[in-house]
Amino acid sequence: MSGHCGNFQRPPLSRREMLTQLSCGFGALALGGLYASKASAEILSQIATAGSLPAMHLVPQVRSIIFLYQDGGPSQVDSFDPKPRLTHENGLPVPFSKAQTQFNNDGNLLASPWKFKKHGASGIEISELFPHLATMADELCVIRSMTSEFSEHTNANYFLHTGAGLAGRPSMGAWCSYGLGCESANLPGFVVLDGGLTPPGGLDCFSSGFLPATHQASRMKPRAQPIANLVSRDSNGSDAARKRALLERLDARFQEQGASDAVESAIANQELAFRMQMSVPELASVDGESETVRSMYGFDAKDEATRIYAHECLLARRLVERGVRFVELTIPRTANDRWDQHSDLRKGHEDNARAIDQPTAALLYDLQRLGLLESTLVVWAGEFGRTPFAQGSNGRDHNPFGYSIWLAGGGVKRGFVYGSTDEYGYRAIENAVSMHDLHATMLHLLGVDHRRLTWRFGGRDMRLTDVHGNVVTGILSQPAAS
Amino acid sequence: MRTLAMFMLLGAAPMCEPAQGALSRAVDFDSEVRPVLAARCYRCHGPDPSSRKAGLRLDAFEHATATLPSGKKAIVPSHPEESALLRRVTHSDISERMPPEGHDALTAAEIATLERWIAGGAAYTAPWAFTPLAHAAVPVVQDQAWPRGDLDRFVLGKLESRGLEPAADAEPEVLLRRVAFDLTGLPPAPELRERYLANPTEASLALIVDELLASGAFGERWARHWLDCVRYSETLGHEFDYAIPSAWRYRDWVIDAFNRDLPVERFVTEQVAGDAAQPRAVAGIANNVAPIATTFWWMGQATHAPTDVRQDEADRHANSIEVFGKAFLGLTVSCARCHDHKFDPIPTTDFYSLLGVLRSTQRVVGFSESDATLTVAVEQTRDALNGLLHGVQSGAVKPASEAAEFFEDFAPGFSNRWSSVGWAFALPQPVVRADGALDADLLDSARLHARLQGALFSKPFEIQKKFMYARLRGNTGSFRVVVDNYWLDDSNALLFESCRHIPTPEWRTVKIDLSRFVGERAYIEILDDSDGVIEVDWIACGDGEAPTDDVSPRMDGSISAEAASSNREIRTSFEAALALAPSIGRTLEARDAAIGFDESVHIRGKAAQYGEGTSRAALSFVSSNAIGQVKQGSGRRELAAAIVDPSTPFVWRTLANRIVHYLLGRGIVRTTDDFGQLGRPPTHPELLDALALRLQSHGSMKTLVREIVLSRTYRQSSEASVDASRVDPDNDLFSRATIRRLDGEAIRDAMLVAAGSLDTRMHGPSVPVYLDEFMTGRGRPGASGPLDGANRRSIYLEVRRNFLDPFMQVFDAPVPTTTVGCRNRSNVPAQSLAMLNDPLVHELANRFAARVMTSAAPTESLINDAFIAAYGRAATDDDVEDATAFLLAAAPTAQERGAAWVALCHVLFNAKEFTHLR
Repeated sequence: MSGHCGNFQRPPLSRREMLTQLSCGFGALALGGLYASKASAEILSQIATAGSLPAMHLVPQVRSIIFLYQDGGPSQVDSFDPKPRLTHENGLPVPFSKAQTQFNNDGNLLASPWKFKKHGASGIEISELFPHLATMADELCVIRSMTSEFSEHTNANYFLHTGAGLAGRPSMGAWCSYGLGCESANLPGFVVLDGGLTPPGGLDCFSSGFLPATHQASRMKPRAQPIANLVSRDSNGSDAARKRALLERLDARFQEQGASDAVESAIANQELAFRMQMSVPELASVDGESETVRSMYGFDAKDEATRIYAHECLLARRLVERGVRFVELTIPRTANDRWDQHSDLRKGHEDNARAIDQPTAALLYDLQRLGLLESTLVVWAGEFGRTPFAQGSNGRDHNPFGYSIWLAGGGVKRGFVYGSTDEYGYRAIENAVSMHDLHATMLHLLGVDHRRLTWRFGGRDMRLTDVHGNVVTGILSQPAAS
Repeated sequence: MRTLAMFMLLGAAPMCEPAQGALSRAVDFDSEVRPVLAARCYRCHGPDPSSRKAGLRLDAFEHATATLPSGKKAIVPSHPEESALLRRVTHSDISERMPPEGHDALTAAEIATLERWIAGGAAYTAPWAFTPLAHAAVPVVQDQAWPRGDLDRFVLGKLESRGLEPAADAEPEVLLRRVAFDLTGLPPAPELRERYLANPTEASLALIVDELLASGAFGERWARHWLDCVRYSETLGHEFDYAIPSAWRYRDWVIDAFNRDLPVERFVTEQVAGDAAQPRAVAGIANNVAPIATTFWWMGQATHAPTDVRQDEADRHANSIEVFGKAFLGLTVSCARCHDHKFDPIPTTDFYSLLGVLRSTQRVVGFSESDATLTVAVEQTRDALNGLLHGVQSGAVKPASEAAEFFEDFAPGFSNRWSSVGWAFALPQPVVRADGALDADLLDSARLHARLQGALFSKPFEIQKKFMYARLRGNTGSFRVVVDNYWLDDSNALLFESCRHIPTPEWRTVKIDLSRFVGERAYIEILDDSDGVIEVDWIACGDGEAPTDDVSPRMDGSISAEAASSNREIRTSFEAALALAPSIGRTLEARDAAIGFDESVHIRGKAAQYGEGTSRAALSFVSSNAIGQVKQGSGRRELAAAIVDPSTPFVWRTLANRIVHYLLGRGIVRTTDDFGQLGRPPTHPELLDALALRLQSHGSMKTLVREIVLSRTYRQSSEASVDASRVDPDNDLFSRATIRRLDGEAIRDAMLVAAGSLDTRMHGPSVPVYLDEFMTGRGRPGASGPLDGANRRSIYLEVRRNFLDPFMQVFDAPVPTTTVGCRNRSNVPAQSLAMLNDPLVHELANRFAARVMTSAAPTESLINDAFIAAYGRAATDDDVEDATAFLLAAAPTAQERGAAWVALCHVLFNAKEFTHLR
């Protein structure tokens, strides 16, 4: 009966099994004390004794995360980490020792083609690639000392998404769904908005790994029918109703012949599936949004990629409004490659920046306007940064040793810059942040101790942060109390 | 009192009350004490020295009872009150309490267990999985009529001891559907059902079981189980999802292994070391299928352009070690990569012993012939041609001083430095060429015939010079330096641009820049993989420029006119033999490096930091007399021999348990891939050993399957009695059958059967995966496969890591990364959405309806046919009434009758009875 190969000290109980199998069930219970008022104390105590998460670990700062995944690795020295020395020494040989690069075609130092300016009251320096985002500078918490351990896209993508450099581990969003569930009864806990580019490494980046399939990402496209198999193929409502009625009678008779939790929960899920057929199109429809809001996001932008990302950003807001725990956005296809400019840095980065700049700024503004930014953490990050020296003549290679990301929203300092790289922007030299640290911090802000969110698999209690990770207390707006 | 107070403070409710009379009952260390120590204490006080705190070890008697630096003893046998361990775990001061702050305190029940155990003398026994297989007395049961064999007696003995009776036998229709799906993954054929219902006896069931076991569908079903255990995939994943060539041949090997009931010893040995095993011919498939099984080692993911090639090699092999340990041994050996295993007696040297095995193993293209025609012809021809050389005066002229720089000059006698697969290089020098000339100064893959294929391998060497040079020409194949067993440059040469070269028709000296790899291990692979030739004059290494050309030795001498005439005859007859030889199949195989390599421990798992040396294939937990010291080769042969040795219990217990899992819904050990401390202990340890010993005695997985399926235990109904629900809520006692959801594969196959569409052809290359609009990303195949998978069984659908079939995924088909002996059985709305709206389900519902409607029989009879097809049972009166009403309402006119039937068939697919086994 156990669905999980004995990962629990005691096998699941009937009522519990049914709940675990609802799309939001397990998580809602696993940390139910905080969010899932529906869960009874009795069930919670069973869970507690069963060895999964006993209670909320910490006071949560946010209830949702929006992860703006910057596929390909945007360049830190062209976005959030200005390096005057690079400008002065443009074209000179690289004066520091460097590691093997992915393409082994290293050129000389390459100045940023874009100018930096201080923005907002905080004076955060942002390059002219992001004019819209610059208007929200005072909301950003820029980390200039992010690091990864991999120079290759797929390892680095798996690392960013799952905390391990190989496929097979659960994605961040799956861990959050498992740990915290979802506040909507009609929507999944982990949604990936598919802008068009699937990350190198494929759908494994969004996998539930060894966690139950419940927690794998539901992928939605920014359009009216966002998910697969959502549209009923029945020609009209009365056909559908007739079929549903017959199905219910057959299932009821089957269940009478021997009560089974597995069958009972399958029937419950069918009910949820029917509800999703209604709720998801409602979610996906942006017709009810005002013209002002839509144009703020960029629905009428000239560039198609901008329009797609605008739709994604607006859907992200609608999803967190409805209690979805973790929303990840992948970037749209531009005329150029993803942020992966091994050559023609100028054109490629400008195309990618144009696609995301206005919608991202609008998302931050809109969340703030609606009072949602306080309860949402927005994370903007690529899998690594880029080299301050050229690849070939006008590109940059992958650089995991020091790069920039930013966070915004509840629990993190506003208008703040954390950490630094060396004077060329190659290696983090102050307050280096590891991927595990980032994950630990994200979980911390959700009220979860990353050391205690575990799943028994293959003989180990697995964690998003493996055996590593420290909460980056320097960026928290409130001192960490555990 | 103190413990009680603490317990209340924590506010936890006791789940496990101590059993009645607990104080008087002896405590079993392995099942009761060790789990507590392992989960709560071993992390800092276990076998791993790197994380040990305070010099205390609690995993062995002599350490746990030793005097500590503090002068205290953690455990004083028979004296709980003097044992520091108990004092610390019950301490009221949180800074003194163990486990330390941040970890939950021990429960009252755990403390009581420790106390009783120490009071009773604190005896340690080996972890159950590491003890030899033991014959236990079969329990004497009261109900003599129920059991059909020892399995039933073990199960019944336990049930009776808890005052329970087994469930009634399942109804014949229920049982037949269960048997058919469990053995073949397909619903029972209607005629089989009629036959069984006419005579639902045990004898008749036994005949049907034998029939199903003999069908090819048995292997197709059970192969899929094993593919889960070995992370079967046909691509490498990562950025471009490159192909794993010929992976499907391994899938076919597994299907065949089950259908031919390959003895367990061979089943294991061929996968681990089939290249070194006694050849096994399967008519029409291959002259020797054993090496095909070694594709097992190459099913992992892989990424191109690693910036640290040695670490990349270690990472890839770590996955293979993980899978090897879990799939065959039920052990998480890979946990010992960075430290000694925290919970199980597996030192980190064991992991590196296995890494040495894999670093001494090469991934090669294999050439497989379906019979021995070609090999025999090549051998005969080679001998005949060599015969022509008798009496020829030959003398090699060595080149001058530069010779020292040569890695290989292909002078006479070179061949003992190289080894080959296939036939292209079967003819060493010196030899008489087709034109009668003698030659001995270069390597020529067409020396015997341009159509022959094969590969030649140098001995492994350590790279010492910055450059390697090779003089090549030809029109096929490749010349490659394989560094640290990195082979993905055949798909993407990034960072390895100069390691692999395709010959050109004109002689050319290629330069291979190895300056990044000085100090790494490498070997040379010269491949001829199609009609044509590759020639290599010489290979040199150096730190500077290439040596001058044409410096190889020459051979003097000539053959007689008579010999020249024989030469022509020999070659003509070889040509004739070649024309008759069946075509050659390509495989992906493991092969021993000519020189083995013993690996040292990588400190904290990093390939750059070395610790203690290890001997390859020497596993500490395998009895040393089961394994000889590995003198040459990779040690895979010795490893296989050791783990199938009757004195080694792991393979036998693991496989027996897997079979129980697939038939009874759970293993005797629920954690099928982890028999260690963090897994679950067996519910019926004596039965597990009895089954493992049975498997050892007959070696036949099919026989064990048959024995279990014909047991009363298997045949029980899934309905739990009131007593059983109360006493055995989790079915730990096998007091009933378990209702199970079908795998995605079985659901799809069953729909194809109902639709009348299933194509039962076996074997062969996979059907390309159907790509929907959500399946995007790099490496996406150019074209989608057919929606209906060409109607083939699901096991023949392509498994692409980055483009996994969403229908299978939603029903918990595993992501192929590691061993998944026990699939999740999740229950998510996406499953319902798939059954409701997936175009495949609709397409098959259409065909199902069309097939039912071909009969002119009355509606009632058609409804009955449809229910039999979907559920393996006749429609009840209620069913007929509901379905008739549905058809009437949906199709008021005759024109709408077809659509109404499609709707009905679609509902039949969606009902839980279709997707679940009772």
